[in-house]
Amino acid sequence: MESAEEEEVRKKLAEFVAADETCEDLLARLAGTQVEVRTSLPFLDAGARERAAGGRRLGRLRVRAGQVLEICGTNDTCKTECLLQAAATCVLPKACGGCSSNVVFLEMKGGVDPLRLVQILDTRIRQTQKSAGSRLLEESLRRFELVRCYNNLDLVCALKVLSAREEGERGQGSEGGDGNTPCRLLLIDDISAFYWIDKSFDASQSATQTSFGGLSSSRKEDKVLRTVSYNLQSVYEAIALNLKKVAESLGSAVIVTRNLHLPPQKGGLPEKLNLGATLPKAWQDIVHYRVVLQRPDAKENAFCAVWDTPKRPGEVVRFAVKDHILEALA
Amino acid sequence: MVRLVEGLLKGGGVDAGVERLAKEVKSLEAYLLAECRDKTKHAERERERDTQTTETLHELDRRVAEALSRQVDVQDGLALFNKLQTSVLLPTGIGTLDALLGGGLREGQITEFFGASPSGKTQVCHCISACAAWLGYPVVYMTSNGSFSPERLVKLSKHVLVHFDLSETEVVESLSKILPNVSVTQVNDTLSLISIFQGMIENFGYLQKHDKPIPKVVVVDSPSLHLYRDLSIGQQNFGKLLMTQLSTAMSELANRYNIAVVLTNHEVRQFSPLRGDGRQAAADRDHVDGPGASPATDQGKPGLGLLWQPQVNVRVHLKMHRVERLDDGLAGGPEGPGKESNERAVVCKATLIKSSTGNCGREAWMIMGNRLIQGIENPHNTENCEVRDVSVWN
Repeated sequence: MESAEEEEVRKKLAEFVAADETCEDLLARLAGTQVEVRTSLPFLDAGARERAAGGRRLGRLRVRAGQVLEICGTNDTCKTECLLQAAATCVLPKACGGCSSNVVFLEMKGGVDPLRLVQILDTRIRQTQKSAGSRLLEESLRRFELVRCYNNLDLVCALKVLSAREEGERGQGSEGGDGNTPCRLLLIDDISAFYWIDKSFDASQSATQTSFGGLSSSRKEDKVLRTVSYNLQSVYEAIALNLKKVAESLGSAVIVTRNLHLPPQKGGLPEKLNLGATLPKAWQDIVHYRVVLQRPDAKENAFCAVWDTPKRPGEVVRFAVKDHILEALA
Repeated sequence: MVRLVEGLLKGGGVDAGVERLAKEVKSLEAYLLAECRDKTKHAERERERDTQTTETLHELDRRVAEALSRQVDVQDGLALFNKLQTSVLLPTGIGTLDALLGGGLREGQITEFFGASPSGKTQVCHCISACAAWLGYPVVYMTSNGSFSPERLVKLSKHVLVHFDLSETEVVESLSKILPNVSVTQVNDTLSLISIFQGMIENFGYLQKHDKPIPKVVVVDSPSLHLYRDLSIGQQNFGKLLMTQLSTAMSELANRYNIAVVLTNHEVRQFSPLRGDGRQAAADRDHVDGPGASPATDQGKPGLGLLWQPQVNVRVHLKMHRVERLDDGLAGGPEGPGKESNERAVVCKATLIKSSTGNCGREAWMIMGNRLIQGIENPHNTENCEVRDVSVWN
């Protein structure tokens, strides 16, 4: 005869090993959220269908909602241009080859020129439509949002605001039953813009210490908001957490650029270079895919993309920047 | 920087737990950084046991996000497009340079002129200031090497105004309008420069609210002088920190108040790699440009290194050339035929290196003197003219 205590332990163990959900439930849950996002980037969509040098067919690679793609490169390797092209593809109506979705662009370094975005949209609309171009242009521009951040904490604040806005809209949407335009892309340019500012705050030195309540307070809420220090690790941890939360709640893919701050190398970047190592682990953990852009010749309009995560050795996608598109080269 | 105004989170109609926490939120930074680490673990552990604390924190989150939404700058594409259509292109006063820049300086962008010394950078800055001041825009001129000269500004103003087809009397009258519009500041180090920019960012908001005029053009000649000193002090990280802070402050000022920021920068030459035996390639050694120069490079690189390069929106390279007439004919100067002008003229070639709307690599030519600066046609296309590179390495 088991005692009440043993009965309770047995019950807790049974609860512990019980499954949370079946595979059918998992697929049903993910089906509505794992949306593929079309970006028209040559190394993601079009380029993936080509064959590699050895004749092997490349697998398709597209970013899905909730995933983070990091585009790395040295100076002048058209990283910002890639983001603008992806944004244009997303906001354009389906009749013009777009996704009719919202895009939020978080700008950190002041390199985004709205004129360039208008140029891309206008050219693409003219190619597909004969008339009513200005109406389509305005409709597309309404789906694009630009948020300017002047330091990393501004970025965290912006992500919080986006998350709260989405929760608010979802709450209202469930009452009114109105289908809002989904936000399919979240773009950040560039995540390492304020790296040197935050790196200067070293936890081992006298960092900014702030505390809530008192350290001796025993209230549960005060233990949550404890002494923190402002340093590179904590800032990127905050960014990573809030970014993941926003991407999942909005159902959008995230594309982020990062400047490698290295001199341009003629032979390409060394193979053994650990690209993720510069930024803290909290950031590295949320990056699903990483691609490196290079410009072999500074005077020519030709760039190449090499996948770092997942590694695809020997597979280089070459492209050039045209007025309205990134054209894949042979 | 988004600031949490004291007491912003206080409000009626919420429960006592949130009120108490709200009063204790003294620093936004601490809240943002603390909540990610401890709150996550806390929420996971305590969720089933104590729902009230989680709800309290969730409510605080919601209140903070609501307060922040009033301060985070979100603009949709259509508003940006309308702003573009109403934005002003500021003429530089030099016709060919305006054509190179697509009409003039764009407000909200940072334009950099770099070149070896001398290459006309300060002359161009004076010309831009004169032109903007004549158009009625206040100009702030920050100099780190005492390069500002009111006499030069007056002489260039006269030349620029003649270019705009004004009569002599009108030119003299306009001078009294130009000079009060230009404010000059001497800056002795990078920290002062950063604090001036941050001060401008804070104060211009107040001025705008009260409909007072704010500057349209801010010229900095030249920040590289101080930044090089900071980069060479001790560890390089300090210099990189200051560089990032300065570029962020300039970018914020330009973006928030639609100001055109103009900078100057010096030029560095690319070093050619050494051969395996430690000697430089023979071609490099014999090249007149000096040690370490790459003979294949017509242009040098902007100074301040890789970290500085992405910080500006438009970059123009200035380079001096000497134009010599091969016959005894007339010199190609603005004084015109028949005047006793030199057979040699010093001209400046401006090349567009970086721009967000393309056209990189295009060139513009200007003739420069003590009291003039004027766009000219490409002297290579003129017959009987020899154009020689005037380089400081010669």
